[in-house]
Amino acid sequence: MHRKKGIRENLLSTAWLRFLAQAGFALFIAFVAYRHEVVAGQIPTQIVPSPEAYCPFGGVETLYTYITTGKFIKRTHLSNVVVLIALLATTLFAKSAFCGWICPFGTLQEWLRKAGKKIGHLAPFKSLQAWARRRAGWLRDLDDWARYFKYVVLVWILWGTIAYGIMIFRDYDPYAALIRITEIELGAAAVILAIVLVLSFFIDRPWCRYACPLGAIIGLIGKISLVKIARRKELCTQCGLCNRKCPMSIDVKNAGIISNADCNNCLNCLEVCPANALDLYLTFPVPGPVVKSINEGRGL
Amino acid sequence: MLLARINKYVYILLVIIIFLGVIQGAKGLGYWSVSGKTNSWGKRIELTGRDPEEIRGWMSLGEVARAYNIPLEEILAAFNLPPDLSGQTLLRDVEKIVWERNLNSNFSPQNLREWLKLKTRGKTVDPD
Repeated sequence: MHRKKGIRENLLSTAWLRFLAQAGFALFIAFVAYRHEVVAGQIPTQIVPSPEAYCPFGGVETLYTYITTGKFIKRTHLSNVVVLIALLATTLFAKSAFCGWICPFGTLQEWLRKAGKKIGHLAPFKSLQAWARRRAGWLRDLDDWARYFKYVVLVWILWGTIAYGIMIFRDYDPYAALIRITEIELGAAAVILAIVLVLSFFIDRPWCRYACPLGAIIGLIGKISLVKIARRKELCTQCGLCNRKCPMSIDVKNAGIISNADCNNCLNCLEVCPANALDLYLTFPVPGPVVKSINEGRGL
Repeated sequence: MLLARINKYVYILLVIIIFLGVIQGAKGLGYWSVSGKTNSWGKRIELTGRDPEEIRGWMSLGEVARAYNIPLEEILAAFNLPPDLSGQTLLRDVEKIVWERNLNSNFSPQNLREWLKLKTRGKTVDPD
């Protein structure tokens, strides 16, 4: 039986700290977006940055042009490159912590999913859940394959941006549509945003899972990050709580070192593990096959 | 290879410190700009009056007139714009005004640049 947590434990829980961090970054972007819309509209001569100036993916899109010409592609600035460098530094240290602790779009999807779980008992959602349960195997296969789509998106954007020198992704980017919500037009980005927001009620972080090009970069670089979550086999009771709490549906209970590119280091698995079998470890950045042999050799 | 266990609170703190630290460090070194309207020290970009290519749509007619030492009235007349147009009007808004009022003007920031290039070379040309 689980012991009820005290106030101090709750305030120091990773879930609460993560909520604070996510809310802080999301509020900052919301404030910048509000200021950009309201102040810039009222005083045209005032310089009010757009929230797009803080997007690290803008840095990815403009990097080639910046390196080769010293200029930025339209709607990107030096700040985009700096935030990208900050993200890369964070990723090299802490894997996908940016996704789990900072990204406002990931936060929004996560909060919608929580709302979705609260209304999950309503009749239409129950029948949807029953439908999904009947097709669990097929949906799992689809989920596995669909996760590779984000790498296709990334390659397409990199090719297009380098070839044409413009932000080819902006017209399809749901995050760009979200932060320009007041001037939104019914285009591809708005439709994709609507789809992502609706899906977020039923699926954990659908954009991050299947289509986020920034997540694709982070996932790949995160493979060589210094800190990773690892499971100690001798302590694990195979209760499966970690798997159930993982928003990215990673098989934590059978993993050694969690090197899955989709892990966003939310630390949910650490928080729920009743046997303290999961923990954060400083690691040598080693490739996947070496991690596998270490896992087998050390009984992880 | 696992080297050492890391306390989760230390980890959380380091994530925030690294992310914000890089940004603050860049700001401190003057390597930061959130707008094409500012330089890397956050100061508003001012026209030098030497190269019309520096003109941007967010600049005002008055700024251009002052920087290139040309009377505002001359710019307005050259582009067939209403003589009562304020010097505070942004160049991108001038384009909107031309379109909304259906004015017989070919004003655009690019045409203004071209006109200024020829003007600063000592030639006076009809923008049409």
